[in-house]
Amino acid sequence: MFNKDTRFLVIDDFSTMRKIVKKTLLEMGFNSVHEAEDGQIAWGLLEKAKAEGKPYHFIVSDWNMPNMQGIDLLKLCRADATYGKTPFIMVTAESEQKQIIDAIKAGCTEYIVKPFSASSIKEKVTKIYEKFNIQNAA
Amino acid sequence: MSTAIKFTHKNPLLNSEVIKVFVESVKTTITTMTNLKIYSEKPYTGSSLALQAEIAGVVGITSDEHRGLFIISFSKDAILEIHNTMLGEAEMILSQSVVDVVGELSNMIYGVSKSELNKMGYNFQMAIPTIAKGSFELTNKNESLTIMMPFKINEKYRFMVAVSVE
Repeated sequence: MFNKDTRFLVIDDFSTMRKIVKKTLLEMGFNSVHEAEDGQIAWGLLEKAKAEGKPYHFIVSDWNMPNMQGIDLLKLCRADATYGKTPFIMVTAESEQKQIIDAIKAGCTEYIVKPFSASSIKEKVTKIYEKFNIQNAA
Repeated sequence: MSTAIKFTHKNPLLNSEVIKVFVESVKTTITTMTNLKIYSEKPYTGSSLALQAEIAGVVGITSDEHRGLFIISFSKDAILEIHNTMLGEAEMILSQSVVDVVGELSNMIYGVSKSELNKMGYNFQMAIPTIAKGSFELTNKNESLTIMMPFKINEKYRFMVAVSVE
């Protein structure tokens, strides 16, 4: 069902969530899952991938991180020609309405509130994958 | 149209509903992430905070009116049980991966608690947790009210949450 070459970037300052999300994506059959420890490092990887002609197809990011928060990374992506429409899931402990509205206004594709189960990640990724027709983009 | 319930006590920890929020947040978070059954024991108060543990996550509690600390502390056995169940690994030491699990759990539990408490009319802010590891004792010398919340995992391993608010 999925194109295994879809390039994912998973961003969280704690390795725990990166491991859980990566493990879930690998179980789904994806084999190109990269990691970054904060928004600043992620933006460097996104720019590098773009320069190499292999931009990421899917971004999964934490909100609350040092150096650059997830919401600021999302805004950078949405202002960029390459990543302006790239699917972006915000995974965060913030569950208050204001944060959700801020993320949606900034162009977040989906929003997952911690704590979450692996099945909720699978559901969101599958839904976005089909909606954005990433099968053909990757 | 729903209206936030305004809280009237000076110190939030004098409200039993606030304590319940922290207890339920701990149970919900760890159970969701690990499927481990978490049992809470009766919370108790302390005039000062003194915690001894092998690893702990510490989050500063801040709002316009309040300052305090949220601390979740574990014995080595308890956190290894959580870590290994959560990640499907077989870690034996308090590695960086274990430190990260403590940080992430602190972040999640405080985040869930904060959201519920803010629905009650508080205005707590999110903060990035710090981790204390090794042989240490955490103390709070300010005149804060401290609530200690003991927990058990699978009737076997124990851990403690302490919330202290000025």
